[in-house]
Amino acid sequence: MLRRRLQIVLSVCTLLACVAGVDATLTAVAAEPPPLADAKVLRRGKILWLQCTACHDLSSPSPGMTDDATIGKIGPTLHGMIGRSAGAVEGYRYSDALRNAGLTWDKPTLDRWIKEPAAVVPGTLMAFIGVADEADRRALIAYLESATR
Amino acid sequence: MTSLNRRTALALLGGAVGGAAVSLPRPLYAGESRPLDVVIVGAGLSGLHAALILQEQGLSVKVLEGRQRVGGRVKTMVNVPGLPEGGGQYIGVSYARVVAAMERFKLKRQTPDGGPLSGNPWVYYVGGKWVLKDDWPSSSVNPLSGVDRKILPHQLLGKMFEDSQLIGQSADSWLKPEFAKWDDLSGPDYLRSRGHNQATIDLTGIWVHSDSFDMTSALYEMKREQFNTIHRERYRQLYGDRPGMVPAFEIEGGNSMLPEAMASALADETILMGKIVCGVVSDNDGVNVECADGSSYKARFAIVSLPLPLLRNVKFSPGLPSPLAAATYEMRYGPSIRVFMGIKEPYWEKDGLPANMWTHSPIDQLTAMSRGPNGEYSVLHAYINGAESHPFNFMTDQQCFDYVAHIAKKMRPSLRGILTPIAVQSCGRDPFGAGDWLYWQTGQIQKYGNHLREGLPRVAFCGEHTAILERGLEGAMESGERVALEILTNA
Repeated sequence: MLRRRLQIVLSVCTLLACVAGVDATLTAVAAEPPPLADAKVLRRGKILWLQCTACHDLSSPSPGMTDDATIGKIGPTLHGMIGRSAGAVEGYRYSDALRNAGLTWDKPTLDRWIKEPAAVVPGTLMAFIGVADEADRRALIAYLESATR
Repeated sequence: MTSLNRRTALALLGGAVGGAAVSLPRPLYAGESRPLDVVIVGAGLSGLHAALILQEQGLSVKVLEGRQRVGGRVKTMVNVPGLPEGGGQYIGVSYARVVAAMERFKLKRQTPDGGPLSGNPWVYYVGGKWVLKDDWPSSSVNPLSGVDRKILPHQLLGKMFEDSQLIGQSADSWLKPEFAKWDDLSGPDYLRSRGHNQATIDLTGIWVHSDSFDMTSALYEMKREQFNTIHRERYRQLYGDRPGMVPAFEIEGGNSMLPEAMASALADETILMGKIVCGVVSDNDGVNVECADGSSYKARFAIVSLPLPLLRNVKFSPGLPSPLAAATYEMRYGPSIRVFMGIKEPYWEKDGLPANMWTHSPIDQLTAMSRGPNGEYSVLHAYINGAESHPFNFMTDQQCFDYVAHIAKKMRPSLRGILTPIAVQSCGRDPFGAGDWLYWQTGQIQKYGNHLREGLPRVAFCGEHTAILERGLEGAMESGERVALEILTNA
């Protein structure tokens, strides 16, 4: 009975996209290093990414902003962002606050940024409610890492 | 969504969450009796945006709409020449979600017609006199003092709140405790505390979009203007030097094109029209949504996008959380009425004054719409908002036309005998509407600010009134996105 239950739990854990807030039993069972854990985290990250897509896309080069005929998305492309200096997409008109912030988009900085952008760069023009949950931020950053390459 | 049993939900919704890529079998609900993943009440922008996100993630979705059209408060006046808007009008250039949806559906922009953003000049009627823009600073009917005398009457409301303590803060600051003290003040009290006289307050109040300026929270007006300031700043930064770009626009062919395009992008038969929802029964296992025609829809989750006062017409079981239940009775939506009339003769040529009028009178604002045949002014649009709209509550459409024409010709004799009735429109006169948008009365941001988004088991609430960062059409989209993500998270 217990084994059967564990099997169900395991299959749920490995196949499902949703991991945030999963209770301790589930997490403990899933901690056995399954190669699919990454995929699970990425799927969660991809769902969280939905709230970025109004402003950002992943195409290269940056769409719209350098072309007077079109508008494109209102934020800069995130293509190649990991490890890049903040405010560096050619042709995008960043706020002075962000351009002069001297940030590099490494994972710890991204984590603080995604949690509360205005706390990292007061005066940023990016409107984002923030991701409060730490595991969610890890998932979103993991997705960005894979998708923005 | 707080009392959701996550393990049950995980087991139930596994297949759907991963989207098409993870096609799990659904042994629990094989066949016809399988409940929907999500039922959405209301096909306005928030409900449609949530439906699109969820359907694209592989969930099965139905949208129940009471009217025979989609769009809610986005309603283009298809029977009026030039297709003016009867509800949600302006789209800021940095309304990210609306702009992204317009790009997706290849909808084009056009410069707003008639109002302050059209570029057409206004003439002001104050203290029984017509005053041209350039004469206003030195006019004897201008109640302002010092440099404030240069502020034009239609700019007053914005200017009075554009240097508030919220400016420069993040867009969610209005919900933070350190700003609550301004929620205890009314708008007029705030202006008095800054040394403004009663005449200035009265003139500012004309453009206030609530039942009365005196019952409006100063923090709400501060937040409203902070929002405008943020979007103006983004416009200036991103597009300010682009020729032809204005800070806000409308959709070519009418704003209704947007909800219609969103509805068309949903799977066939996703939206059911004429469905008046009267009951929502939910527990940790699912939701049953009951309609007045006797039909009901079982789903794992429900999203309810109705404006607050309309929630009173739905029997929720279990009942609404107590702050939200009280809010459905205490919170009010700004009222307005729009009266559209044909123009038979060019009255502006007769008296030489600008065609657009901003008036301290019972009919607020009269704009000449130029999007009709040959780009000539062909429709006069009386837009009466806030307290001034109350007398219209008990008028028939014909009485509305007669009253507006009567006041108009008394103020401006060249309007005598040249106006013909076309249409009357008001979000508050609509049985499926509550008014234009929620405004916050003094103290209500502290009382309800964080409670309008609280759900029931498996039931989430959205709608423009639940937005945090944005307002208007973008606020509706923000709220639809929020509840869609909530469901994807819990599913």
